[in-house]
Amino acid sequence: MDILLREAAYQFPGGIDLPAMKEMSTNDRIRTMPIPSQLILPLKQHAGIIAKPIVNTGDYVLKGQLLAELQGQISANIHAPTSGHIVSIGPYPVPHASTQVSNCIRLIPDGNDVWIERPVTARHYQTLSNEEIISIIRDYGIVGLGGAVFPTEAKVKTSSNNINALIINGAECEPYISCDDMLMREYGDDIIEGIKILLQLTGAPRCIFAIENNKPSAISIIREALRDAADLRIELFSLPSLYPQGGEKQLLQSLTNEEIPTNQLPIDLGYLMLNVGTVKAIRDAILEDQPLISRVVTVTGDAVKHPQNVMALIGTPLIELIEFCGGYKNNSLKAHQLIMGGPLMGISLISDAVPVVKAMNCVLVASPKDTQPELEPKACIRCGECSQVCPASLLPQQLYWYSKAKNFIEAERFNLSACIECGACDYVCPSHIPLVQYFRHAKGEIKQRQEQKIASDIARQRFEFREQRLEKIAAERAAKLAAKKSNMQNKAQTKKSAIDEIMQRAKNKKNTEEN
Amino acid sequence: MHFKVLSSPFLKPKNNVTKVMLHVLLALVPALIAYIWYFGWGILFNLIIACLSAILFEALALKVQDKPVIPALSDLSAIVTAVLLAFALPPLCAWWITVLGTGFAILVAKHLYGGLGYNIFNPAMAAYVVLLISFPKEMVVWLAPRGVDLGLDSVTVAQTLDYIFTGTLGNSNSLDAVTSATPLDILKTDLGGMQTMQEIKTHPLFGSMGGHGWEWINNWLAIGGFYLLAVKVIRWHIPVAVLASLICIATVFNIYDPGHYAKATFHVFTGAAILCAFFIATDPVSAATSIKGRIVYGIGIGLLIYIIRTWGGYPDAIAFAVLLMNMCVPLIDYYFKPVAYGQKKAN
Repeated sequence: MDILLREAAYQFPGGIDLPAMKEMSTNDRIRTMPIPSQLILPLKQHAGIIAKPIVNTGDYVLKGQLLAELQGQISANIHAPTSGHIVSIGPYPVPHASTQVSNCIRLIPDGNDVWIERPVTARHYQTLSNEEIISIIRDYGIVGLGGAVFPTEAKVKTSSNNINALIINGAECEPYISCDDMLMREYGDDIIEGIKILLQLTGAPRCIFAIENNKPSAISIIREALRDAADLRIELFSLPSLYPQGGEKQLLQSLTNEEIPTNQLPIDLGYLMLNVGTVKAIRDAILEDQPLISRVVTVTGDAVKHPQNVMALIGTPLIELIEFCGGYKNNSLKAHQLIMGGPLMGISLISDAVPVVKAMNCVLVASPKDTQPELEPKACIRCGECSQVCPASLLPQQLYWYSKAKNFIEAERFNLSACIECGACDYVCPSHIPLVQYFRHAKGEIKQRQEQKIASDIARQRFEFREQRLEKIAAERAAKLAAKKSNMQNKAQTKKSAIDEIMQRAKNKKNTEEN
Repeated sequence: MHFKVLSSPFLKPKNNVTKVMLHVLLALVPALIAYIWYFGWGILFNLIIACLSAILFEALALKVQDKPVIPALSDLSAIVTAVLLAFALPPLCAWWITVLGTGFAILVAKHLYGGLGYNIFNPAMAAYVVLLISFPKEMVVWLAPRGVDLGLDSVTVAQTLDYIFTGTLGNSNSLDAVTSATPLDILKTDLGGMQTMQEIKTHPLFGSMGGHGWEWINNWLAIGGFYLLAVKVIRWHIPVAVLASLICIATVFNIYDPGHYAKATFHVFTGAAILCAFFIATDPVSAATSIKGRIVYGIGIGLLIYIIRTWGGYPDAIAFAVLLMNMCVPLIDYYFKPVAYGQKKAN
């Protein structure tokens, strides 16, 4: 049976053609890094509520043991990546967009790598119920590995019915990053197996597997794997290499020509989209009883000696990961920036002491050859290149004027909230205006104002309720008092009339006696 | 090791304003050479005077406002304004007219409105209109193109310089002995004099499509425009809208009465329609923002060019058309916003 490779029939608006820069890290196979000297496990590696530690300093833990428990509906468990001792639980530098220090569990490995006792060695997913599959996904700490780290359980739980299609995102459109590419090349069969599990779970009639056409090896390996799997529900699509093709909304638009209406999710249109790495993690959890304790990280950039993809334990300090890849280059163009993710949407890291986290698809050890942030911005010449490339069909230059002028109402009217912060406008701006920075700041302000408004509304409501309550209490008290008073008066009246009566009787008696 | 924490994106940008402006200047070079070939060295002298005064005025304006001079000058936007103004001036043009025009463009049209990016009107066109209204006599000193014998004396380089700096042609030549009307002037006056198109077209100033000489300058301008499209300095929406609307309205009237209304090709290849479509209307600062808005803006300019040329008081109409549409830009921007992602009404 031959598997058809189809081209995506539509295209999202805008987008930019970027140099892929992926070749440098795709020459070797994925190398597994030995256990590092210590592991630092942030309690919040996912979108949602921070996990709560259930171990104490000094505890000995086994590989795969639960260290921190999820809290609430949207959260994720954290497990020990190897066996060893917990040496501390407390604040430590972390790779995160908005905070530089956060609570982490520090584990010193004993080197024995002893697994916790696992219920089964080999499972057949066909015999599992949906509830069982979902609980494994939840218990094993699976989150979206494309970068958003949204807890997968929350995503699949709501999707068990009315699914049109499962979409597997293998686009990987951002320059330098190649972890999904390498994962597809080396674990094609596993990914297909994971898709079959998800098809069973969701009951989706079809699955669209989408890969950008700058990854021919990955495409042919997945095609091969699909041929072996002989599952007609899975369709393979190639996409033009155009940034940001891998964005959830853009990918959906390229494949189906559908837009997710504002304030809705892909699931509302009947689509469940997962990254290839997430699919592999789900498969490993279900079939091999392996919690999410490691991931493939692309270590790349001009300033690292041997760019490559590494299978690293979650918690590995970046300094040891970079050392494993030959360390920093010592020539004239030294590392001037350390980035988690790619050069467009990545997060700038303060130090190489931070650990690998579930979100870390790429570590870009950048020299001035790779990146050049902080150029002196010039005046906007309204050239409109920004709106030509905007995948959300916005007018970034107008948003820029409004954000700069702090006119957030107008910025919202020009749909600032539809901005996905892909950075395409920023990249093409001939005046080098840090557009995304302005947008992020404006969004933050708007959010803060909304929160303030909600808080003040609540406060006002509370005040009004209190006033009402006090009034009510006062009224009740007054009523009680009045009642008491009248009661007493009544009583007094009765008493008086009783006395009167007695007096009368006495008088009468006296009168009769006298007569 | 510690690193600086910055905000994404970090990728090296490929473009900058200076590059954009350089592309525009480069695209004008072939047309400049054709211009010199047909109308003599005058334009080159005007261009040099305009550029030098633009640099001076720009530096002055920045100094007064306490803004850094070198970065703003190095964006070359003032030079582009000066060059476009020089293209609009007649080849024999007194130096003080050029300086005055450049001064108005840079100081009033650009910096009084807030500098690059804030000016509502296209500076070169605003300056041109001011000159045209203030010095109507000096603004029509056009020469006959090379290769057309109107019995006029030819003008040497020395005479050109003489005229630019002293206001006379030296020797005994009077201005009348060298100047000629432009094809658009002839069209206007002769149609008014009840001649038909067929009779007017036999005038030696008319070439195969447009005015003699003008058509070649325009061809080279169009090639420059295609270059700008190819390097993505401009997008197709405005040029296509300007030319298409001009062609449409001209064709309609030409079909209605060929005796009184010139053909579309004549309107496109004579005067500054092509310069306008590719180099003036596309000035991003004073144009509309969105794609739909830009098409509306371009159509407006194309129609106005035809209306003013045909029924207005001036032979050519580029500057007026552009300025009038500049005024409409805020309105166009308000009504023609693209539909943002997720805002499409569900079917």
